[in-house]
Amino acid sequence: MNVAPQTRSLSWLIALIPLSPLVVFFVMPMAYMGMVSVFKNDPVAFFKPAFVLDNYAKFFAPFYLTVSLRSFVQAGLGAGIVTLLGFLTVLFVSDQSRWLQRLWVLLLLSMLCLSEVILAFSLLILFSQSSGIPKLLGWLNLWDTPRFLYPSFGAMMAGYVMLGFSIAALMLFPQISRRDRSIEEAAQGLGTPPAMLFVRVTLPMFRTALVAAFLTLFIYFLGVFVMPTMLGGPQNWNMTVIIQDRAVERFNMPLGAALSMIMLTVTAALIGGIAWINRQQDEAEDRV
Amino acid sequence: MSRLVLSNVSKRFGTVPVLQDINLSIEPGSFVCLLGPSGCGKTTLLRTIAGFEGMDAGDVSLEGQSLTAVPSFQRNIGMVFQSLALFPHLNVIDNIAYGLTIRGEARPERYAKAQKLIDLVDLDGLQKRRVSALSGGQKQRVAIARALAIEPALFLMDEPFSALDAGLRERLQKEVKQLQRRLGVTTIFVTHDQQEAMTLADQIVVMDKGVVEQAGSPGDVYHRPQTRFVAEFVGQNNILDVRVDQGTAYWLGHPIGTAPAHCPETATITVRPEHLHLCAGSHSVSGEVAFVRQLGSVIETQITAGPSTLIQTQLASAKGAPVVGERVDVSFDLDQAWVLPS
Repeated sequence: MNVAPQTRSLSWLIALIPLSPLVVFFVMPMAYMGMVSVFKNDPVAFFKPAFVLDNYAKFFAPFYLTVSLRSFVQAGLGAGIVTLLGFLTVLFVSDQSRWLQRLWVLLLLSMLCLSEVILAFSLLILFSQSSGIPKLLGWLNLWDTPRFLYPSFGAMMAGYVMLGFSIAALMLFPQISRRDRSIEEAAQGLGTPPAMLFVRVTLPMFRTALVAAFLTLFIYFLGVFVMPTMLGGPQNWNMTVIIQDRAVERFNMPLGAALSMIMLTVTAALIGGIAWINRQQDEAEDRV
Repeated sequence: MSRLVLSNVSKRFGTVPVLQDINLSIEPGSFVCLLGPSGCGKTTLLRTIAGFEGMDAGDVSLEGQSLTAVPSFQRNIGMVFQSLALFPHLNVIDNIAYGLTIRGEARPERYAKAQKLIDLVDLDGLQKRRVSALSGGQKQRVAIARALAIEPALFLMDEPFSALDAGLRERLQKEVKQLQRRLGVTTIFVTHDQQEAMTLADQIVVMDKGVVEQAGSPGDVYHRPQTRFVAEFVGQNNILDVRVDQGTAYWLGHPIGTAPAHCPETATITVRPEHLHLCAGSHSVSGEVAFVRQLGSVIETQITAGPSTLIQTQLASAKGAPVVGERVDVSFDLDQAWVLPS
């Protein structure tokens, strides 16, 4: 057929429209960041062109290793909590009436339009000694000496939940709401007590969707800046905050760029590794 | 083997009655088909037996033990769902062995039992395959083997072949019937396909609007329908409101033959299309051919006679089929007619 090559060329031409801005606004800054990461630091001019690996070497200092580990743990924990909460809530909502499900999706979508800063502020009010939960508990005589609940790890995690919940729920909702309910009935018919049903059937049935939601949130939480800054405090600052501090506050752009490149590489390796393991499992099953 | 007894089972969805005073007794080891049009309540009845639907009134008992208060996971009833409901996260052998895993059987024992079923349903070599990588027929076999693995007291199937092509459906019907005979498990099969019901069942339960219209052998249901609905739903039928005068049946004022024995003065009789003949006789009725269709070895003809339409079938022969618009004489073989109980 002669039409096929023409169609292919046309497809490429159409693809150029989204690809061009992607190259300009994503690939080029990334390449620029990679370049800067091997430059020398110059407090006056931000950096001096050179080829040094000092900035990368600094990552292996105990401070940066601790911060990066903390970032991964926080992002992983946050993603885990949010995915689980989202999953359980969506399971519940998907069994409600159509009207309630639509209302729920609307609420989730409206939550998405709230910025990280607004969400963090609302939590600051909620956790404040003068007007939030501590005040209420004090007023109810449930807390003798009410105090601020932030900055703390818990407050920051609450921020992660508020930030990621609608994303997780919206990612899981289509698949869960369309699930074949008879699979759970089949499991019950085969002798699964209701208490075991969730762990034996419901949860593993959505493994792929849950892994996808977890990875999305994990990556998202690695880059979160406002929640650790406003709710977490210095002891909970993640690598994003430290990179901002080094690059902007301390004018060390090459170090900031190198730390960013390392975080990007490690994250990509982690995601790639998980995807590879999944593919290997699928291929092994397909070969049988 | 277990006898299932349904006593006065009733259920409503909101204000709509879906099951109305159902009474059934199913013999141990028999193959029963629940037959009826969509929405007649047959799936609800099956789900009620399995414990997935509650009842508003009545009782379901198995081997004399009431199941009404027994939750579905304790009933020991194997069920094949219309969607098959295979576990997507498990491979073939783990799907089949699932019920045994839940019962706490050790891995070697449960795999040995699952392997026997795999051999029985002809799935050898596919033990470790993902269920999403199976064909429609293979998925059916996995669902059947999974339900049988727990050695159920009762085996339920909810229109399991409705999504399959005709050839595969026919093959699986035969296989299921042979399997059921070999295992002797009491089986209830839901279908809206009368041919499927005729092929499989020892007993057919015809349902309409939540009511059991007739329960009996395939021969009974086909040849001796007890209600007008059964006569119309099971196979094709000519239903004639006749008047009997001095032993002769009159339809639309025309004599159509000697009335069947014990036929009251006014009656509704059913005559199967194969018992109508396109030939002139002493008691024939004249009509016009409205529609003709070739069904392989059989020709089906619709004839308009007065305000009614008759259906006639005959073996395809060299002399050819009637032509639409042609005037024909239809004679009735009333020896084969059935008088519907009034």
